[in-house]
Amino acid sequence: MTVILVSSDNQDFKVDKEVAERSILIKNMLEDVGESDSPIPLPNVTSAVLTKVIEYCEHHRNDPVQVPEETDDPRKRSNDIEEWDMKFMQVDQEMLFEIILAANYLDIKPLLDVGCKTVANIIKGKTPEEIRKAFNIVNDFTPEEEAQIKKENEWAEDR
Amino acid sequence: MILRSSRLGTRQTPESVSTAAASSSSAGQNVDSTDPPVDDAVTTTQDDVTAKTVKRKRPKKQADTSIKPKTHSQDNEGLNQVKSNAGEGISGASKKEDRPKKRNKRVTSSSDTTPATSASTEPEGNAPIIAVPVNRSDPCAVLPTETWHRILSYLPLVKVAQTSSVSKAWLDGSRASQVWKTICDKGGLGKPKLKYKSYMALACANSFWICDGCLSVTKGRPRASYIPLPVSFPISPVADTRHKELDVWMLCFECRRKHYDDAPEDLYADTIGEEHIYYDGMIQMVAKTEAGKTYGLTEEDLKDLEYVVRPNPHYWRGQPMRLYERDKVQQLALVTHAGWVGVDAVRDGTARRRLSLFNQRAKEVQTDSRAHSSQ
Repeated sequence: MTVILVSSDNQDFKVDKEVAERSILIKNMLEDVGESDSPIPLPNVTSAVLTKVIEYCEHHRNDPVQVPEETDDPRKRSNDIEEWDMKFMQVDQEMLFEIILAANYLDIKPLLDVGCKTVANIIKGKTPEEIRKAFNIVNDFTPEEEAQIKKENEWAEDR
Repeated sequence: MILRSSRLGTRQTPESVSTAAASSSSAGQNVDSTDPPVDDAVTTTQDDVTAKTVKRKRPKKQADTSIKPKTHSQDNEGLNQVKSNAGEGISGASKKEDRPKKRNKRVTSSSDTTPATSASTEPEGNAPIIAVPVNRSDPCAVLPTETWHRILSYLPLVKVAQTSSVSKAWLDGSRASQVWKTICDKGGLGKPKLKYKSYMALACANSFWICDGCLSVTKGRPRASYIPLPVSFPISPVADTRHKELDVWMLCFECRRKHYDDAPEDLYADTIGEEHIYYDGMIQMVAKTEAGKTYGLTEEDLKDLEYVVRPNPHYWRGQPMRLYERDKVQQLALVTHAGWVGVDAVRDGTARRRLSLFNQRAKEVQTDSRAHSSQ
């Protein structure tokens, strides 16, 4: 069985139901609507992004459904990204953020996780100045403010 | 500076700054509409799903803006007290400035204002293309707060603290993270007051004792190896590999033990420092004093370990010495102190050094805040 997804720019995407249901949002929609072949509009997702998202869902169509949130470990490491996912995430940064937004909206938690890990990995090895450069951010602190912030929030290390 | 949005470029070629600003303000709207709904909004019971998803965009936006001031006021709890005694500290002033700007940003991105107004609300105006309402290449500006905090949860705390000096938005993003309050509550660090003005600052002051893994605070625990100590992890190839050494997590005793249970370390074949090794045939042996000096093991730790007795090598009348198998001593030390990093910390007196550094820093902050209040 297939379903039709409609992107914000009115493009139709015909995908297997199994693939579409990687998105919990769509899964719940389909359950609510019942048997119906009317297309599903996704007004928050452009066709470029939806193409990527469907590619991800196709590849992970047989993955076991993730158990909801292991709460015992509040902080996680980001170095366990699968090779395919890593390649999949090698897109320009704006596309990366769009994918994360779409994963959030469509409720595809594994994709959201991979996206967040990828961004974390970009930030990880960088100084604040390098971060500004990487993301095109203007430093809107005055030098005094910046010095004060750095002092107030200095995470002292001793190794 | 380059206009980073490729999508904008394909739609219309901006000939001047003003058209670029116009197109990006429409992009701002775009961001607004791509904003995802709140998590549990997915569970819907209505039949008209389509209408619902369209409707839901607005409430999310409102919910988002209402979250921001809340975290502010929470952070300001302590700050207000400060202001009454101390007048305006720098951080107080910066926060004040910050708020209207944030609101401006949201208003311009959600309503259909002309590019002229959106440009004029920005300070300095040195780079007009960058100074548009939403910088689409800044993840902190583009992504919802909740998602941003999820990203921060993948970073060691030292990194989260450092990112606060990237920009005001990033400062808000790190400061609003629930992680700091969790640490302070869990570790009994109290509430932000005069000395440390936010939960983040309070946590930062106690950084020596906070575990990156479980967020526990292990100050003043019985053994010197119970403090958080650095454990390196191979960084994902996606990250900038030049800074490989930076993916280091400070892990408490329990977290380290869990980690080394999964990935045991090798024993040392070479001598460690000034260690003196005896031989029983081919087997390396160490004396009891050595087990204490090099491996931080007490008599109590060693009580279940087998030993052989040899005459004292220094004084023929001296007490006979107990020799333990070196491998066994090393294994015991790794378990007792959770990894070589723990053994090293005991030998080097890391815990004591940190305590004196901490006290020194705390004193500096004290004199600082006094100086502020006397101004």
